[in-house]
Amino acid sequence: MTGQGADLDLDLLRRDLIEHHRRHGFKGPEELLRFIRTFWGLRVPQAQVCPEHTPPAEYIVDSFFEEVQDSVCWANRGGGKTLLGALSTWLDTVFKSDCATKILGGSLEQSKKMYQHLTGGGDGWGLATDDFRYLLRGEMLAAQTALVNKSNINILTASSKSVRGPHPQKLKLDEVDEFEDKIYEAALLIPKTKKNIKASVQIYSTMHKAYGLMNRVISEAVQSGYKIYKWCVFDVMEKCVGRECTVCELWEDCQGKAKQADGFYSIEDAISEKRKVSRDTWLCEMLCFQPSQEGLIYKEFDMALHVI
Amino acid sequence: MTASETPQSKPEIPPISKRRQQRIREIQDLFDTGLKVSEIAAIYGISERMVRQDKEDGKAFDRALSKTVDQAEFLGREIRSFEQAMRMEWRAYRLATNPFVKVACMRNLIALKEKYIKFLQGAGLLDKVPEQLKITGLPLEDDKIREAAYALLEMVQEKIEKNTEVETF
Repeated sequence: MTGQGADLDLDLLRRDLIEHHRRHGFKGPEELLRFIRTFWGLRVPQAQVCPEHTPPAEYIVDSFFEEVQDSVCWANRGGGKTLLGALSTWLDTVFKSDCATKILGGSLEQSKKMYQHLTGGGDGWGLATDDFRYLLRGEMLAAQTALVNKSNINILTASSKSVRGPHPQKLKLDEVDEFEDKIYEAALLIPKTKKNIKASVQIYSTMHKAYGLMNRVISEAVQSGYKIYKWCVFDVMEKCVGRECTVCELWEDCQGKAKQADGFYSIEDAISEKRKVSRDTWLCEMLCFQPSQEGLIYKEFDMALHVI
Repeated sequence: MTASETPQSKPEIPPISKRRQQRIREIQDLFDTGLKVSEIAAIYGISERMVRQDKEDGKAFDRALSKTVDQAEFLGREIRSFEQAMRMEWRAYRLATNPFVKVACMRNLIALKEKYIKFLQGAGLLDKVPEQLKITGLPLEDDKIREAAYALLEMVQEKIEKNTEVETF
């Protein structure tokens, strides 16, 4: 007898599920989020924590089901913007045929991070797990990752050269505050609707420059037709359980909101970061308030008030 | 259909002379190489009808030959040759003084053993326990089955997460 005992082959089951969704799509947001949780162990925060903000899950769902064409994700540092950008790209690439995406990073480092979220290199999450490798056509490269369904991803650093060339349907701009205005303008002309997939521009960034590009994008969002998805550290924070609010260092900003949270951001990390940085930086980079005016010669300068 | 209407079964081996048996084999070989009936008829100086008849008789001859194979005898012969080969390999292993030769003999023995086991399993003489239980081709279009598939994967995922540190973004 050569039998080695019975083993359940979950890889096959996972592949069957991928194939099912490739053929039939997803029944709705719940199924999509469940797939994400099951295949990547990613719990995209769904709870409405800050009433004026949007839970990150809403962005993923809207992006995949193409409820929104153009969007801006304005979120805190470590709020998962790059990862969610990589996730929405990978979902589009795997489950939509002939879907081309170009991702431009504000810096080489930023582009690398996005690529690593796909491959799993460095600190990347590794969305292209072994379960999906059979779909790859050739090697996974930052410059070109192609799938058997004729979808592909290009991850480049924003430059005058990278904004020229082919016109994919999807354009993702990561950390737009680091972009040059001219390149940003040229990049907006990249996406084109093709093969029943709508052209879309998705922007991810913190807003850390007082008069930076992200500030302009947000101010002009309504007239440009961008939907703003905004989340702060409390929207992605882990659920606060058993902590005494009255003695908590986050109470000033939290006001007990973290009790409803269902995210991943460690409360301890948030407390430690709040201690380390200035109030301006905390408000701007973690709570997504208006940008810090630190470093400006005249902090009180206001364009609306002081420029005729 | 009544008994009288039952078609007459063909004789097991067609009553044909040894010389014609020889010709039938040759004609079968020529057919295998792609020659046409007319070409074969020209080679032997016989009619095309005769060539066709030889072809048919050849088939009957093959059928009759297959019935002469004794399965048990064939299997026994194969088993004997496997065991003989393994004995010889063992002997070579024992007599070898060079360690590299010993290793080579051991590899041959393992390979022979694997083939032998596969042969026995293929012949149905040895039960095979599945090495993996593969769930595939599930009707995942059915919501309940899809739900069950997800529940199973989540259960495994939970177990893995319990054993590893929970990762963050």
